[in-house]
Amino acid sequence: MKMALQKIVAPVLGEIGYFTQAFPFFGGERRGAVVSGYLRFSTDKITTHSFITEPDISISFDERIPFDAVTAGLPAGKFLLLNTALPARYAQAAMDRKVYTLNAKDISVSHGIAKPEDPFPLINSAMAGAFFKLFEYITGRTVPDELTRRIFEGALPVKTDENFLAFSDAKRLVQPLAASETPGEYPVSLFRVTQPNGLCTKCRLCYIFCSKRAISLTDSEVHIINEAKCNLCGVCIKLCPRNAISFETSEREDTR
Amino acid sequence: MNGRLPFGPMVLTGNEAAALAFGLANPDAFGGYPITPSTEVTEEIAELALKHIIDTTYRNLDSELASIAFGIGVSTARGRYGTATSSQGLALMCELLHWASTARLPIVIANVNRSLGSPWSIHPDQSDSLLFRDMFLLQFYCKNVQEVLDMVLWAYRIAEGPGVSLPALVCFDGFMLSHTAENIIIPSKEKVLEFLPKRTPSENFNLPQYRADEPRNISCPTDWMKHQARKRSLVDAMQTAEGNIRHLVRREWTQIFGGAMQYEVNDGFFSEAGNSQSDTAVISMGAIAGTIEEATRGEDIGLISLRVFRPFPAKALHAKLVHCKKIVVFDRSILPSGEGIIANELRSRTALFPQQIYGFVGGFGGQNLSEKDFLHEIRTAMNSDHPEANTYWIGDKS
Repeated sequence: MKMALQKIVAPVLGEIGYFTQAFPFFGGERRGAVVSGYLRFSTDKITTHSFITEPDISISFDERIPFDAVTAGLPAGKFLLLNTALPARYAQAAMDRKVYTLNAKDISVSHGIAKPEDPFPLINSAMAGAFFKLFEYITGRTVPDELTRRIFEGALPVKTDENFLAFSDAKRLVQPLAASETPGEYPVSLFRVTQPNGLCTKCRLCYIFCSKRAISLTDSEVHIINEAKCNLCGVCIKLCPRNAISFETSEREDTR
Repeated sequence: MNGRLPFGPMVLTGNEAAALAFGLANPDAFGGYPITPSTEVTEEIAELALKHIIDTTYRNLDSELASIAFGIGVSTARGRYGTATSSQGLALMCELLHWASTARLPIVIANVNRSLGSPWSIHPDQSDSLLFRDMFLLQFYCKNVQEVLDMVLWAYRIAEGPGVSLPALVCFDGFMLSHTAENIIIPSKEKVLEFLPKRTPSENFNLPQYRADEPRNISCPTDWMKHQARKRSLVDAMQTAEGNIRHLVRREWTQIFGGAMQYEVNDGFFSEAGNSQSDTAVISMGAIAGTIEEATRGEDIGLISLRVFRPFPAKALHAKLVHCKKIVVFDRSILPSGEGIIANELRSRTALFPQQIYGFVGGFGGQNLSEKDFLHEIRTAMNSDHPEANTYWIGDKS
């Protein structure tokens, strides 16, 4: 996400004459944790360094991020861009917002940038492509391919062609989502970390390293994962010497 | 040399801008020890040195203490040295940083402002660098990414100036500047060399082989009067720096770079916005200055954002604020007295600043300081008549 905003989107916007600003925000936790990113662009000079609380576009890079967090502060009538394999789940959100979707992981996989089994696939180029489709739609301006291609060469010396193709594919494949009141079941959370299974030896590694204090011990030393606190960073899964915890792509009928 | 430093308009983060500024200053050596959020400065310099785009000798070091020790060696041997760090890393340098300042070594340290623990935080406040406000250490602060690049160049120029020869900190807020990509203009290497020529070390502070009679900065004076003279010269050096900033920056910077850098340097010590004739002035330092500018657009308020904290530009500020009735200060630091540090600096000079001073503090632990927050607090101050010694905590719900 940081890469997409700072190395692709903002430099392209700068080249076509905008004042721009792009920054991520995250805490002390590391790879896998939720990261927010902010992008401003304007024909006037940008001086502010605050977070954006009422965006014109909200973009979700990952369905594991709670949907409420993605739409927080996004006024009605504004744009929502979602990376999802199951767009129909979000049809209700399209009732009062302009929702666009793409399957960025598929695009990355098709160009050899990501592997199907990656829990955190690289999708920056595809997401940047989808952003520029919306950008063109909103501003009526087109971004020349040669310019984008030049930025890619500077930012991504490895797999430049593949990434540029992913960018172009995403720009072509991003779709508006038809609104519907009926689906009625878009997920609270598609993903979760499983409770430790029988292989768990109560070694406490996960408990010690959980940055969100989402893992607790009971009197009988059983590890309990609190879904409300868990940010799906995956540190516990990486650390567990017995592979007793895993990510679960839920097919539960979690509805709101 | 295999490549060239980029030149002209670009979109870069504060860390990348700092690295390029060091590249343009082309120090003889740069020492690196990583710490969030300044690590990228070190990484970028290492890459520029590896690709021979700059002549700088880059060294990975054992710690920040080793980094400042390396700097003392390089600088004592007439070289130009740079390093980058943050919070706990800067604090670890403390002992030798004091040596570097009293030995009059013009080392430049980029300090990406980050909270000092406890509790653990990687987010910005300015307590880490302001901890060193009682050292003979020049301190520059940046309000945007362009200033990050510029202040590194200013810092070398002022620090190495004749009669100054003191180390300098260039401070910029973690994340809000270090990780924020913005439009900047990179000056050409030739122009930078014109503004910042190769270091000419002050003769009085050299190693014996360069000047035999008095190698003052490493010897142990047996005469207390000589020792005292050295202490007094530190005060003179700070005052000289204050004079130099006004002249060098105002004249030479503007002459050499002209309108190309696209902002007013004013008199160097601070930048201004809003209505400078207003009864109310708001003083801040760092990235929040730009947010305050956005928040108060169209309001009858004068804005001052400090670029230079040490030497503290008391005279220049007094001249600018003399007509004001109220001064509102936004600090990202807190003292045991319950005040922010800029507010404390002003209140300790009542003869120069007799106005009502409203002190606000905030921005700790990753708190977002929004336009609404600032406007609300400023209006509260404007409609109030009792600043007293009270400090207002931004966003305090109690």
